[in-house]
Amino acid sequence: MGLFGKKKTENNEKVSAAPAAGAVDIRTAILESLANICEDEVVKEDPDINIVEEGLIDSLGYIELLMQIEEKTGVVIAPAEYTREEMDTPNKIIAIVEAKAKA
Amino acid sequence: MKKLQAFLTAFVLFLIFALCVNEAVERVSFTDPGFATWYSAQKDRCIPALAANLNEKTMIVMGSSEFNHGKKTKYHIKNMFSKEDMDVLLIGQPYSQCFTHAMNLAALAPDMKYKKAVLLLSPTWFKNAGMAPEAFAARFSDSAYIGTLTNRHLSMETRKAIAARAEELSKNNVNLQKKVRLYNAAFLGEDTGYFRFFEGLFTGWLQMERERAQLAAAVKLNHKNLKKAPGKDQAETVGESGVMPSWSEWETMWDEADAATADEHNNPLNVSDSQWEKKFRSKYLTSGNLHRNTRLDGPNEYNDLKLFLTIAKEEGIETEIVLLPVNAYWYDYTSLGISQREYLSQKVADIAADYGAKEVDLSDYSYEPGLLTDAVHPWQKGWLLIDETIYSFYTNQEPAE
Amino acid sequence: MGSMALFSDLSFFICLGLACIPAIILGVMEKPLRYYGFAVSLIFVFLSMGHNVPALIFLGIFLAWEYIEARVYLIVRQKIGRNGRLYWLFLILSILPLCLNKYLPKTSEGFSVFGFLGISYMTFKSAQVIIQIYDGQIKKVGLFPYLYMDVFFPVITSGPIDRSERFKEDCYKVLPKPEYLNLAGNGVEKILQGMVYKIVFAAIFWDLLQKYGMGESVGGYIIYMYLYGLYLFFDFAGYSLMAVGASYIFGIVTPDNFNKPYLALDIKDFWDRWHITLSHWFRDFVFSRVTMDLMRTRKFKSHLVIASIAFFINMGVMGLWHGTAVYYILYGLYHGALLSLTEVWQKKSAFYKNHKNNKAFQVLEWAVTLHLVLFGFLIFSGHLFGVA
Repeated sequence: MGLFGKKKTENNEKVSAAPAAGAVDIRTAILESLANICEDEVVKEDPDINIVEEGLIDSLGYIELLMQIEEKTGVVIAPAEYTREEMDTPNKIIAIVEAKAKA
Repeated sequence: MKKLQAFLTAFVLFLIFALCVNEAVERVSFTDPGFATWYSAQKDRCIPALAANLNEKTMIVMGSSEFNHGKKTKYHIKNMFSKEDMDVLLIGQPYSQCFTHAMNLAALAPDMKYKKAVLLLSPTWFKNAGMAPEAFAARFSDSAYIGTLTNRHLSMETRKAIAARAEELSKNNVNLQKKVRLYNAAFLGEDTGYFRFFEGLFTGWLQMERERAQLAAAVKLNHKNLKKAPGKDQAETVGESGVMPSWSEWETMWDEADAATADEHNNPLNVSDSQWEKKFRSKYLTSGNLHRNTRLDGPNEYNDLKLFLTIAKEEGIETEIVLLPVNAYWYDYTSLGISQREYLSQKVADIAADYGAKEVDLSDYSYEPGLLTDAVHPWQKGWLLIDETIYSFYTNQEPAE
Repeated sequence: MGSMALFSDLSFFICLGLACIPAIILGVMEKPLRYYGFAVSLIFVFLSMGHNVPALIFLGIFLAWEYIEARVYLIVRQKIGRNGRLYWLFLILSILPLCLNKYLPKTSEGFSVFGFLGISYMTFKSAQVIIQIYDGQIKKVGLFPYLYMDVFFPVITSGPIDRSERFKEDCYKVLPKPEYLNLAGNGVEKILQGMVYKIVFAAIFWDLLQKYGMGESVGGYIIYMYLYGLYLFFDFAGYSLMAVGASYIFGIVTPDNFNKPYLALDIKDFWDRWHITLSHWFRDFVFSRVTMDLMRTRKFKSHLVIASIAFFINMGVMGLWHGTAVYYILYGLYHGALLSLTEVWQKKSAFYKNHKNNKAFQVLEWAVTLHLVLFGFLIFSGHLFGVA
């Protein structure tokens, strides 16, 4: 089924509440979510790190990410919309969401 | 571009190769002196090759595995008679039965110049359900089947009956059944689309080429043997061409054959001692009920026999049915009772009479010691018996006193 | 008209060969292939189904139904936005013909509702269009590309399952001559490779299966299992190669379906190598959606629990798609269980994490996976239920 990496994921943290009114800083929101999901602050420190290769995220993690992006920024990304390669670093993800938010 | 070029080159090479193989196969002769009496599965499957051996006075003799026994004795049919005495075309392999021979007859009939045929019936053919699907698949010949379906002398009813029986017998073999259905549609169907018809033609042609190529290979491997004409080993063969020996001459030969094997069947079954050691001794004590449930009255083989005789009638071929003897000691012992064997004799006689065929019942000899090497295969005396019967039919003469 | 079996009958291959010649000429001349491809596809539709008029009628109804539905939903989506209820309504309507076909009994004349060649695979494409309209990824549905996608002849019989937008892109692309020749050359190679797989190898293993694999003993079943696994691979991979190769010649780069599946190290890897387009379709349109919906409900905290539920649903539906026979459903649930257990094992087992790069461990992993997969196919074959 194409699940990536084998990092242990124990996700049981509550995601932060609905998006704040007004402009939401997309970059901060995404990095926060990523750090939660990957259980590693390195994504904030090195936003060009390849989270697939490093085994920081698997496909369920991605789906959680898409869900949180939608909740925090209102941007909807479907599970199959982008390939792994197109979304394998924090910066790429941020760029995509920002582009979609503008459209 | 490179891959396309490679493909085209490979295709052209393949065509050249196929043409060369075809040429080589075409050059192989199928009319060597020993061909007509050669015991070979490839030969029996290739109707065109068999047809090439049907001369003015060639009579077809159909049987099964008995042709493979006694080949070294002087009484085997191919050693007993030279071509001038009696010109026969032998067709028969293990598992050949009435239905496969019906197709052989139907396919060869248009080429027969001497319209006589002999069918050597083995009682084992009539066991229980008759022809087994596996046997049919083993003996199936594309050229015989196609030849049968395309033989216009046969009534459509007969050909449809053959097609139905073939489809029934191929039900255990998916590929064979597909092929049979394809041939039925292409050669007998009234409503067949162009594509299916073309596919039937092409498949048939391809299969017949395959049969031919396999036969050519077998001929090449055996070409030394095939140069030997029948009867060649004999200082003198039976009589002079076309002259039937008298009964006393036959009896002399019988006594000679008897003496030749006199010391070699000292066992409870009166089979040959070597067969007794090899096949019977170890299972003798436990075989008492081996054939208790075997019956010889199932309808299938009798119906196939009727189909064979129908074809002979429609083609105007004079036919003789020879019911071969079996080893009565063995079959009595294993509980295939004499009543079943008598039923078989009677039924075969009735069917032959119904279809105007001659019939010779050799089952009276089933208690003759030393007649057969084992349960069913002729030994020296056994062959002599068969020879006399066949020769009598061929020459249309009964031995004089 | 006869009933030509695509990729099986001799007459098909001859027609295919003849049909490819103008395609190659058009491709070399750098002309669009889509109209010719569409015409050829219609011809093959008639050749394969022409004798069965009800099938042709159902095909026509199906295509009209799905296309109109897609157009209507597009308008609905644009006007009303992402409404879950409407989405489900349209999605169910798009798979309705397939459900009617599978679950209604045959009529007394022996024909089934919506019984035409390719309905199972065309439904995937139609459903995918509806799903991606909902996602907002599809904003336009043209009549010609939609129809062509469904009747494209190389993939009618059994796929591979392409995606509508990817197909549309290829269909409107005109390749420069050297690229086309390269593609066509690869296409010819794949067709030939597929023929060897299907006509030679699969047939050999089928014969062996009939001869040696029919025993009723445990040993007999084991032999059946190995031979059937080999037969199934060569038959299906062979057909897929031929389908992909033929589509290359017509300018469409249909995705491959198989990638050395029996070398898979674990079950997740296996589904990336076997019937790839099917497994990826289910991953993208069933598994990921189920997962997201489960996550949204916030009822399950653990990713592992969510993944397991999603695997069961995903593979269960896949099993059911094959047919209603109990062994198809069992096959689906079996793989659901395998995937769930694998996920748990890989996430929780220290032993796994410590040894997963060890060569000896990988060999063991491979051997276990292979046998689990083969056993799954034994279930799938129906042999254990006395069917095959």
